[in-house]
Amino acid sequence: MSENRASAYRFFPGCLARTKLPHIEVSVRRVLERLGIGLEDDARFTCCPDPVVFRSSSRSDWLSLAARNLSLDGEKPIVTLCPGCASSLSEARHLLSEDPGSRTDAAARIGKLGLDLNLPPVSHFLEILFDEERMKEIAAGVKRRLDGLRIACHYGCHLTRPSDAVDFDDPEKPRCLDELVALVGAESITYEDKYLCCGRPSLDEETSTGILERKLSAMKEAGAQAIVLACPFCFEQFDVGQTLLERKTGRKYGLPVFYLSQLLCLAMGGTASELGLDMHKVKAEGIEGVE
Amino acid sequence: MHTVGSATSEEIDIIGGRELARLCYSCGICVGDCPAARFSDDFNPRQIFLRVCLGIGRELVGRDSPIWKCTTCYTCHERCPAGVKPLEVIIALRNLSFREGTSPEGVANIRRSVIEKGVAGALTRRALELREKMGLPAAEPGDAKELGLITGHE
Repeated sequence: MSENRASAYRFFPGCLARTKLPHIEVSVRRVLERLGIGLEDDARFTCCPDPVVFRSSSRSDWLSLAARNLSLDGEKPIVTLCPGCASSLSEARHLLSEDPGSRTDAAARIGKLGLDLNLPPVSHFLEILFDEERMKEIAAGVKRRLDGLRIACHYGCHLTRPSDAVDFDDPEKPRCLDELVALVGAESITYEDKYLCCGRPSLDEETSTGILERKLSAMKEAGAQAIVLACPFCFEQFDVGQTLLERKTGRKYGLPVFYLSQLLCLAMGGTASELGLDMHKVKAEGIEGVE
Repeated sequence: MHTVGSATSEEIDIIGGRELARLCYSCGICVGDCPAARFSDDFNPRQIFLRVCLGIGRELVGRDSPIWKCTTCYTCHERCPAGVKPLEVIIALRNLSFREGTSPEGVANIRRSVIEKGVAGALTRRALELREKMGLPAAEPGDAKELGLITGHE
């Protein structure tokens, strides 16, 4: 057992899991627990804050709130279930270490709370899973293979970008999801616009929906049976957004969405009900092994 | 002195936008695979940076500005050969828009929610009950009031 494996991570759940998607959090915790990775909770963690909307109000406030989250408990590594949180905290960490002006301002602000600036490593949970040894362990734990299930992997944007701060996988053509779904026997299909954004972070409805429509059509044309991703915002866009789009356009996609951790839990023996799959808007009916 | 909205060029320099945009030589690589440019009629990152550079970007911080269409996907950040950090420029413009009261309503709402409650969005009773039922730890951040202190909004 390597030293790395025994070390505990502080678990950073993020807002969407807290407020709307507890079932996703359950599946991420389960996968990490099964791999023997100890997690610590810290009730003081607040919104990362989000790199899209909150940062649009004030970059310096965004940075100081991120600095507070980073500095709460020394150098112990942080793991998130959300690429937005991982990217936001990593980018803040990058700025705080590279830019003296930003560092001085943020340090003074969190100093009011009696905190000294700390810059612990931050990663998304996929960074822990996408590792040769851990992938062998996952494969060995598979009890129910999802052979032949045609999956459209969707990476989104913040999982690997900005690469100067995030430093995980290939920034524009990542492959971690493709390799992880292959462990359970599923087939990751090729589809057009695979690396395109989900559209959700655009504050313009038309842009956001236009992108979603393009993604869903491309997945469907390539014969996908389900979507796999690892971002709560992409999840909402593809699950809730798909339902709304179907209602609006009358077109039917019927593509159920799985968080990568849910797919792994299912394959490792978890049941749909304990994973809260009934909370998804697009039901996974008819997919063998998911009942 | 150039102005963008009510901000002087020095103010934009402070948030990094103008200084960064000045590096731009309008090659257009930021437009190529930009999702917002592809799926809307009036979002063009190259034009935005050019306007900021030339100090003629007043309309970019007005109401219903195309700057809010950006999906923050960072594709331009990865590809820009001039080191412009295009997203920083967009964020700088959005910060100005927020200060001038022309940003979309959602921005102030999310900001208030984060500073007052520690989370973006609503922690409903249903959400708390579901967490408990699923065996998850309580979700309410313990000391959200600290956030007002460090953002000057106590």
